Amino acid sequence: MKHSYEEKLLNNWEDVFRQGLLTFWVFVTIKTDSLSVSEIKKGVNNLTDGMYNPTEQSLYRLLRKHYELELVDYTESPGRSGPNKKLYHLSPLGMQILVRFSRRNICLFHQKEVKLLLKKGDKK
Amino acid sequence: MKPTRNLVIFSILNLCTTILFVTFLDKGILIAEAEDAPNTYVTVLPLLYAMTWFISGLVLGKTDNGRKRRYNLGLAYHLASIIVTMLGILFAAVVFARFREWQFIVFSPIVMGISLVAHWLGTRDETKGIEKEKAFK
Repeated sequence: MKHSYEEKLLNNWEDVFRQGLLTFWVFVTIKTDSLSVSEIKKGVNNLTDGMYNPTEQSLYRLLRKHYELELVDYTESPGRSGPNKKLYHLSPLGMQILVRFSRRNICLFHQKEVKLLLKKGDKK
Repeated sequence: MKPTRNLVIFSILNLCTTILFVTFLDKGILIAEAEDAPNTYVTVLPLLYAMTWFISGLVLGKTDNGRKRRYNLGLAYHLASIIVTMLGILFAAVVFARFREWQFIVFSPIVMGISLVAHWLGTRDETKGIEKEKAFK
């Protein structure tokens, strides 16, 4: 009972925490390579140890908005037996935003207290 | 703030249809008054006119290239609609005596201005008309 309550708290916190971070992982995935949506899906999944498993549909929607906001670009390559495949990569503006976002938000996790916390977790 | 090609087409198209609508509506009212019965000018024409606005906004707005501008496209279409409508009202008041109702000329821009301010207030936190919660998941 105690365990399930703890899990519920952790899951709820994670649900809220993860909102907004899918963009971060997508940008990290495409910062150097031009990738298709299915490759981005796999890349995000690998980078996050399976914690993020977005659907291709949600990635399409997200990338369409990011394209409109000038954060990503795409090139088209011929598909195997259908329409052209879109290969997405980060635009120069997207790269700048990713670097600034990381400095302001991700670097915080390198604080000594956080490192100690993670070590404590490892010992357990 | 340079308007997009679709926005220019939308404005010109609806300005032309507004002028045609007002002209034919005046004619229709004249016939209806003479025959003492409604005719297609006053029954079907307003529907066609409304449909032109709706369909042109839907098609041109949806296919507009959002990447090439940094303003809220929805708000820009709203503003263009108001300008076109005001020009139509001005045209109607200058050319046709029956449309020279001061209440109509005064209150229309006020109501449209309020709707534009409400639209702006509702979307001012958005980037290019995209909500931040939807852009950054």
